[in-house]
Amino acid sequence: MKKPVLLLLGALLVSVSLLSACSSDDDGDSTAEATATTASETATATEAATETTTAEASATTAAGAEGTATDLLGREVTVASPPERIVTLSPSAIEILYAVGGEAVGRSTTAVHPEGVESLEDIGPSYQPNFEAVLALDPDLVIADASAQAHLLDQITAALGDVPVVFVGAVVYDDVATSMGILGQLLGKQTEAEAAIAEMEAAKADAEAAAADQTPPKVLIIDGAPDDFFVALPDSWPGSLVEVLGGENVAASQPAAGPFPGYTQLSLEAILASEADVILAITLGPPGATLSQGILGETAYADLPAVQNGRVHEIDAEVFLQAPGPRAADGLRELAEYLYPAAR
Amino acid sequence: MATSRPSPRMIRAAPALSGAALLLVLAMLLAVSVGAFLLTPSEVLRGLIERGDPVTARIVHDLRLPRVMIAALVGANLAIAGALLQGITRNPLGDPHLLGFSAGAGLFAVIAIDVLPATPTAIVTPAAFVGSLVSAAVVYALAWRSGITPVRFALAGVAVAALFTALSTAVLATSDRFTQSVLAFLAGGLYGSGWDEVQHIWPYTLIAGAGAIVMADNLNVLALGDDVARSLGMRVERVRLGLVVVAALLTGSAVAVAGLLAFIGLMVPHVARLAVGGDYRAVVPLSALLGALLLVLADTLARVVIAPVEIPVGIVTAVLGAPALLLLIRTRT
Amino acid sequence: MTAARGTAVFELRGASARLGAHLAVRELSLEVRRGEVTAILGPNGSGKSTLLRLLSGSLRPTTGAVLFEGEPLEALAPKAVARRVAYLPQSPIAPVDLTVGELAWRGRYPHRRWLTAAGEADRRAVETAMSLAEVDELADRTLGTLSGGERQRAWVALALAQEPDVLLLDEPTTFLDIGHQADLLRLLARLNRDRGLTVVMVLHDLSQAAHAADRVIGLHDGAVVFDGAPTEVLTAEGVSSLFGTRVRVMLDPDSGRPVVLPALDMPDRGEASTHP
Repeated sequence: MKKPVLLLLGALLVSVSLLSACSSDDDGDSTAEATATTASETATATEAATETTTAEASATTAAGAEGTATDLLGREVTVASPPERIVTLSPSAIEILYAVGGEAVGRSTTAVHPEGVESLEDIGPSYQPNFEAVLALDPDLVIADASAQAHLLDQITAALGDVPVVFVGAVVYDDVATSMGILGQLLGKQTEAEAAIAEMEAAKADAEAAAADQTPPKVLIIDGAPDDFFVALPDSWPGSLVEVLGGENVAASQPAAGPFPGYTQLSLEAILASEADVILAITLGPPGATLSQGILGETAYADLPAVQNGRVHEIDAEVFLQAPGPRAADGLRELAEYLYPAAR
Repeated sequence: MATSRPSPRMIRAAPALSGAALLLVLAMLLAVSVGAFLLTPSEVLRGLIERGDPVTARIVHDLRLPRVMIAALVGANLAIAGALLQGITRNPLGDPHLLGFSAGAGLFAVIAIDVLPATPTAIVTPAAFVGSLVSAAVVYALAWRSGITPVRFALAGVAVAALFTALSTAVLATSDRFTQSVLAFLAGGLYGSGWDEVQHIWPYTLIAGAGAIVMADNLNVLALGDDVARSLGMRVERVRLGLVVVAALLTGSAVAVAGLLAFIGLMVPHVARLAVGGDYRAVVPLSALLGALLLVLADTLARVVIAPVEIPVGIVTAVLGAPALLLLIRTRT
Repeated sequence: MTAARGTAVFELRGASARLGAHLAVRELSLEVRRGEVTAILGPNGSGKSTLLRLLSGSLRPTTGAVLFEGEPLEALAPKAVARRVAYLPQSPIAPVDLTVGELAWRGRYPHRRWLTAAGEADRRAVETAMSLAEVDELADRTLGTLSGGERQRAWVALALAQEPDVLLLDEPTTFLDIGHQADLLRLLARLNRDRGLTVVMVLHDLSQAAHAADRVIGLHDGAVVFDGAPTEVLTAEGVSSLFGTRVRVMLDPDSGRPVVLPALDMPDRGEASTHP
C-alpha cells in the first residue's frame, strides 16, 4: 500500500503542476497584452485612448481602404474595408454607432434607441451576449461596450476569433466624443463623426456657460427602487455629468460599495447630513412608485433642502444610467436646468 | 456459486457504465447540434472537422464543442469529488460544496479577480485550485486529533464552507474593483467557455480522475470503519489524505472554469449508488459519466430554453436532478 | 503455520494504552502463544477490547511495546501483518447495501497487489471462508436484510478470507442465539485443531470461555487479575473477586471444565468482592 500511494500522489502532483505550468505558458502570450490593457483602470485607459485617437484623428481613411483605430481599452483595431455588417453588443454601442451615421444588423436585447433598431436581430442581453447569434449574423465588425463589457474581453475575443471587435462607450462625458471619433475612423465616416463630436462639445459649452458664476449646488444622485437604492459617485456616468456642470457631489468622499463600481450605499443619517440641494433620482425595477415619489413620501427626508425646495427630479434611466451615449448632450442641458434654474 | 465471481458488482455494473457512456455521447451530439439555431448532423460533422460553411464551422468548433467538453469535464470532476468525499466521510452529505472545498476555491478566485488587475481566466484557475487545497488542508487540520474521524471531518467542512463563503462575500462587499466578473463567477456557469478553459481543466480530470478510479477500492475498505480498515492492512490516514488531495484537485479545477456549481457533487454519486450498489470501483466511474451527462444536458437546456438569453445552469441542474434523485429514492428503497 | 505450537505470537511489554484521559490498559506484560485459544474476561470497562485493539494494531500503545513474532508491530508492513492477523471488532460498521459476498471479498485486500486483478487463490480463499462461516447461501444478500446472527457470520467470513493464522475476536457470540454461538465456537475449535489457528477472543459468558479456551485471562481496570488454564483460575473466589459478585463454580461432568453460575440465592457482594 505504502509505496504505490506515495508514488501516485507524487506523480499526480508533479504532473498536474507541470501541466498547469505548460498551460499557463500557453496563455502567457495571449493574456499578457490583455493584462496590460484590462479596463479595470478605466480612467487610465480612457485618458490613453483619448490621446491616441486625437493624435490619429488627423489621419484620413478613404472609403474602401483599411481603417485603424485605438479603442477605449487601448486595443489597436483594424478593419480591411468599411464594415457593412456591424453587430452591437450594448445600448451605448448602438447609439454611438448611429450618431456617426453607421447602421447595425444586430443589437442587444435592451437596445431600443434610436428608433427602428428594435427590428434588428436580437443577440442577447449585453451582460451575456450570445456569441452564436452574433456569429450567425456573419459580422465584419462587432462593437462592444468598454465600460459594461470590459470584463468579458477575453470571452468576446476568443469566441469571435478573427472578427474585429472594437470597445467603445462612456464612463465620463468626454468618452462619448472619443468613442465617436474611434467609430468614425473605422467606418470611414470622419465627417459625420466630427459633426456629432461638435454637438457633444456644444452641449458641454452650454452647460459650462450655465454654471458660470453660479454657486455649485450640493447634488445627490440616486438610482434604484424606493426602498433600495445606490448613490452615484463622481466617477460614475451620471456623476460625471454632474461634474461637468460643476455640481458638488455629496458622496464624493465615499468609497465605492456594493457590486457596482462608481456607486455606493449611504445610510439614512448620511443622506440627511448631506444637506443636498438637488436630488436626481433614476428609477429602476418594476413599474410602480418612482424613486423620487419614494423620497418625497418618506417623512425622514422632509427636512432635506432638496425636498423642501421642490428640487427632487426624476431623470431618464437610459440616458443617465444604462445607455451612456449621444443623448447625454441633451441630458446635460436638462441637468443644467435642474442645477442652475436661476441661469435661465 | 455466487462467490466464484471475483467482483459480482463490477459485472453487474457493466451495463450501467456502458449505458451511461452511450447516453453521454448522444447528449454531447445533441448539445453540439442545438443552440441559437439548429444544425443537422451533417452540418455538425462538417463543422467539427472545420469544413463547409465557415460560420457554422466556427460555431460548432469554437463555441459549442469546447463548451460541451467543459460541461462534461466539470460535471465529471464534481461528481467524482462528491463520490470520494462521501466515501471518506462515510456521510451521504459528503460534497465538495457542503464540505468547503468549493468555498475555498471560490474565495481564492474572488481574491484573485479582485486584487490582481489581470484578466480572469489566467489567474483564476491556479488560484481556485490553491484555494481548494487550502480549504481541504484547513478542514483536515481542524478535524485532526491524533487521526481523523469522518464526523469531525464533515463538521469541520461545514464550518469551513460557511467561513469561506462569508469571507468571499466580505471581499465582494469591500471591493472597489470590477465586481461584475466576481459576481458572474460566484453565480457559476459556463458562459463564454472556450478552448482555453478546456486546456485549464482536462489535465486535472484525466490525472485526478484516474487516481480516483485507481484508489476507489480503498474506499470500499474504508467504508468498513477505521478499525477494520487498519486491521486489513490499510494505512488509513495516508489513504484518506491522498483521497482528499484528489478531491481538492478535481474541485479546484472545476470551480476555476465554472464557478460555484452546487448539487452535482452531492446528487450524482447517490444516483450512481442506486444504480450499481455500493462498490466504489463502479460508483466512481459511473459518477463521472453521470455527472458529465447531467451537466451537458443542463447546460444545453440553459442555452436554448429562452435563447438568446441563458438561464444560470445551476438552476437547471437542480430542476433536472432533484426530481430524478427523489424518484430513484422512492422507487429503489 | 510457521513456527511451533506454544511459542509467542504476540508479546506485550509493559504496554499501556490511553483512551482520552482514561488509562484503559496499564503496563501489561503478557504473551499470546501460538496455537492456543485464549479468552479475555473481565467486567465492563476493564480494558478487554483495548487489549484486543492493541494486538490488532488499530491502537498504538502510549508506552511500552507490542511485539508480533518478536518485532514491534508498528515497524511491520500493515498489509503483511493483515495477511497473518485478522481482527473482528465488537460492532463493526458496514454500508447496508453491501452484499455478504462483497464483504467477504474485502478480506482479500491485504493479499492484493497494486493494480492486479483478483486471482484464483483469492477466489478460493473467499469461497472457503464463506463456506466455513456458513454464509455461502447468503452471498448475494445485502447486509441490511440479514439477522444479527447472519451478519456476525458474514463478518467472520471476511476475517477468514484473510487466511490469517491469528484471529482476534471481540465478543463474537454476544448477539447470537445458543445454536449459532455453538456453531461459531465449534468452527473456531476446528480451525484451531486442524490448522493451528491461534484465537484470542473477548467473551462475556464465563462457562463458554471455560469450555472453549485453553487459557483465560482476567482483566480488571486494565491489569491482569488471573491468567491460566480455565480449571486452575476459574474458581469461585477468582471469579467473585474479579466481577465483585458471588458466583458458584461447578465442574461439567463430561468435559471436566468449570461452569460458572451467578449465586442469586446468596447476598450480593460478599467478602470475595475485595479483589487483589
